[in-house]
Amino acid sequence: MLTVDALTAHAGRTPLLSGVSLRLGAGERLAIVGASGSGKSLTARASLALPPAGLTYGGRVALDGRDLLTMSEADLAPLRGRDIAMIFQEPATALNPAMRIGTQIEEPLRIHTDLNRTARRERVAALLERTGLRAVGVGPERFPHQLSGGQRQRVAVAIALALSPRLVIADEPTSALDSVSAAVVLDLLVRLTAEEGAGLILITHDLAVARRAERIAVMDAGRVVEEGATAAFLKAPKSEAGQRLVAAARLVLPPHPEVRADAAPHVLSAEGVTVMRGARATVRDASIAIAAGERLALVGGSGSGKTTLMRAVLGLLPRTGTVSVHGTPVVRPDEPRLRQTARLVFQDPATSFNPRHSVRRIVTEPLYRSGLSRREKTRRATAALAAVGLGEDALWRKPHAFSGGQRQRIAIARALIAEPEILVADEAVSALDAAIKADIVRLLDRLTRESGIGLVFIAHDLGLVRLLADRIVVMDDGAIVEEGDVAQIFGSPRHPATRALVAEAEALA
Amino acid sequence: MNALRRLLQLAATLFAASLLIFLAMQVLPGDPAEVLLGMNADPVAIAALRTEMGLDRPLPVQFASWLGGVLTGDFGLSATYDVPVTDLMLERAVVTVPLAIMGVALSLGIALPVGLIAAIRRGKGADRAAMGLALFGLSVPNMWLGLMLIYVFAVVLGLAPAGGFPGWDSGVGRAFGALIMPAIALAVPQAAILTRIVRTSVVEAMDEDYVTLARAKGRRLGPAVLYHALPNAWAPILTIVGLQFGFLVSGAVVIETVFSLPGLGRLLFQAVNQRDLMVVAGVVLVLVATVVIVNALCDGLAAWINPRQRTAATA
Repeated sequence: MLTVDALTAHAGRTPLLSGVSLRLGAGERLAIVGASGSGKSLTARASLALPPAGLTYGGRVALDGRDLLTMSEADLAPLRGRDIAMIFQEPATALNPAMRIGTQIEEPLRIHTDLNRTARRERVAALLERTGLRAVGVGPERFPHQLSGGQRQRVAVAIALALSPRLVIADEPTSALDSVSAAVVLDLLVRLTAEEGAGLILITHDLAVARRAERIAVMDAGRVVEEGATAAFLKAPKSEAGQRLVAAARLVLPPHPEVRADAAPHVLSAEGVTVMRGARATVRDASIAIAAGERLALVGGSGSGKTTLMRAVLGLLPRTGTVSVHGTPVVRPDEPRLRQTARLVFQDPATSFNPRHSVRRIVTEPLYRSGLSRREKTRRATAALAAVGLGEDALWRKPHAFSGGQRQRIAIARALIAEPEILVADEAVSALDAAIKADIVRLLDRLTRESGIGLVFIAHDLGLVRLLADRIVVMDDGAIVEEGDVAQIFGSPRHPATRALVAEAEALA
Repeated sequence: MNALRRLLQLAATLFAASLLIFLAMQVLPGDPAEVLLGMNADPVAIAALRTEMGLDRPLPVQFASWLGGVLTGDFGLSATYDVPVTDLMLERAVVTVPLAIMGVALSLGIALPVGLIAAIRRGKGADRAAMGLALFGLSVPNMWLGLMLIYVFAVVLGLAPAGGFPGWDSGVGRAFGALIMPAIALAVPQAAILTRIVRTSVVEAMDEDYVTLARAKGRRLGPAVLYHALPNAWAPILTIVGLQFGFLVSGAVVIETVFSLPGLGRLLFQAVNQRDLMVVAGVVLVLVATVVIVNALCDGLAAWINPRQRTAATA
C-alpha cells in the first residue's frame, strides 16, 4: 500500500535523510525506532508529504502507486485525513486551544464528506464513545485545556480515526504521557486501527511501544539500518544501533547495598506538608524522610503532586508543615542549610540553563557568594564535570554545543558542585531517549554508590523505579497513599493507585 | 471576580488621570479669571471673579467640585466662548468619534487580510511586497499623506472636498465623504504597524502542531491558517488595536488641522492657544478616558476569546 523509495530530506544543504526505503502492506503494523535525531519523525511526515518548515524531500513516497511528493497541495488535501491520518507526540500542542474538541473531531468529516450536521454530530459522539472519552464524562463541548494529557491524546486518536483511514501514522504517541495513560492510549490505538483494518506506523524510541508492531525498522543517522520481524529483532538485533536500543531497554545495575531507612535523624525530613493553590490543596498533609545514601522513588500519575511536594520541601513553594535537616527544623524556607543539603535536577535541561552563559558559569552558579576564589571555583567545576564524565574542555562552551544527554550531565554537575547530601531529580531522564537515559541512570547509580549521596527521584517510568530505587513512595491526588521497598510495592501493592501503576508497568514490560 | 478587579483598576486609572490633569492646570500659567477679564483688568475685579469662580478655595475642595461636576457631565465654562465645555465637546465629538472609528475599521480592514496573506505566503513575493508596503506606510508622516491626498483627490481629480465638514445635517453621504480622506490618512500608518503584528502572531501560531494537524486532516494551508492559527493570534492583535486607538486620537489633532475639520483635536489645539484651561482639561480628560476604556475593552475581548480565561472566569 505505502512504498517509500530512496527518500531523502534536506534542510538547506544538510542532508537529514539519505535513501530511506520502507514498505507497508494494508493493515500492517510497522514500528520505526531510533534515537532522537535519527530521522524517524521526518520519515513519518514524508508519508503525508508535510515537511516541517525549511525542509525539502526527495525520492518517492507512493500510496497505491501514486507519488505523494510530486502531487500538488490540491491533490494531496483529499488524501490527508481520509486515507492517511496522523497523531502527534505532544497532546498539549496538537489540539487547537481555542476550539471545542467536538469541532476538532468533526473537522475531517466536514472537509471530506457531505454528511449533514446531525450525521456528523452522531459520528463524533460514536468516536467519543469508542475512544472511551464518553465513559469518563468528556463530551464534545470541552476545550483541550480541560482534559488530561491522556484524554487529549485520545481525542487525537478520535480525529485520526474519524474517516476510517487506511493508514495511521503515530509519531511518539505516548512518550509525553505518564505510564498509566500511555498504556491506555497505546492499547486504544492498536485495537481501533486493527478493528478498522488500517495500517499503523508507530514512531518511537521506546521498545516497549515498538513491540506492539509486527515489524520493526531501526533508523540511525538518517538511514534504515535494520528491518525485520519484531520478535526476531528483540531477540537478536543485528545492527549496532539496534543492539544499543535493546541493551538500553535491558539495563541491569549491580545490587545496591541495603540502607537503613529508619536511621534517625534523617538527612532531610518533612512532616505534614500542605501546599495550597488558590483554595485547593495540591499537596495534603504529606510526610517524607530520606536517610543518608538512600535512593527513594516518588511515583504517581501526572498531577498527583510529586513535583509540588518536593519543591515545597526544598523551600521553592510556600507551604505549611515542618521540614527538618538532620533533625533540626528549618525556620525560613530560604535557609542556606536547606540549599546545601539538597539540590534539584530538572526534567528539561534545555530550559534550566541560560543559553548565553558558559558551562563554567552555569555549573558554578550554586557557589555564588560562597567566597571562594575564581580559581577554586573553576577547580571544583572541573571536578564536578569529571564526576559526570565530561572533560575540562566543556567548561568554556555554551549549552547549545551539547546533546540532551550531555546537558543533563551538566545539570547534575551543577547540583553536585555544592556537595549536597541529597540529589532531587525531577523526571531527570524522561525527556531523553532510551540509550542516553540508560547512560544517565548508570551515572546516578555510580554517584550514589561512590559518594554515598542520597537520591530522591520523581518518575513515571516504573521500570526505572524498580531498577534504581531502594524505597518507593506513591502519591495520588496530593496525598501519600503508600510507601514501601521495591519488593513490597511490586509484590503486594495495596492502594488502588499503586495497583494501577504496577499493573501498567507489567503490561508494558 | 476577575472582571470586578479589572473594573476597579479602570476606575483607579481614570481617577489618577483626572488628578494629574487637575494638577497640571494649577501649574500651567494663565489664571482663568485673568483670561476672562483680559490682561489689563482691575485687580479688584479679578479677585472678585476668583471668589465667584471658587478659585480661592483650597485645592482639594476645587478638585472635588471639578471632579463632581465632571461625573455629572458638567465640565465647567469655557473662558473664551463663555458656554459650557460639555456643549462644546459634544458639538465636536460628532466629527472626531466617527473619524476615529473609521480609522480603526480601515486599519483593521487593511491589516487583517494583508497580514494573513503575508503570513501564508511567508518568504514569497506577496510577503515581501506586503512587508515593503508596510515599511513605506510606517515611514510616511500622516500629515504629509493627508496633504498628498488633498492634492491628488481634491485639487487634481476633484473627487473629494479639500477639507472642512458640512455637518451631518447636510446628508450622511456628504458628511462621510468629508471624513474619508482624513480617515485614510489616519489609518495608513496604523495599518502598517498592525499588518506586521498580524503577520508575526499568525506566523507564530502557524508553527504550532495543531495547524500541521489541520493540514493532516486535509485542510489546505489557507483555511488551516484561517480556522486554526488566526483564532489563537487574536490576543496580541487586539492589544495593539487598543494601543493604536490612543495614537488615532492624538493623530486626530494633526489631521483635523490639515483637513480643517471642527473636531475635538482642533478644539484642544485652539483651547491651548487661547489658554482656555477648562476646555483643555475637559478635552484631555475625555480623550484619556476614551483611550483607557477602549484598551480595557480590547483586553477584555482578548481574554474572552481565549477559552482558557473564559472558563476560568465563569468556573
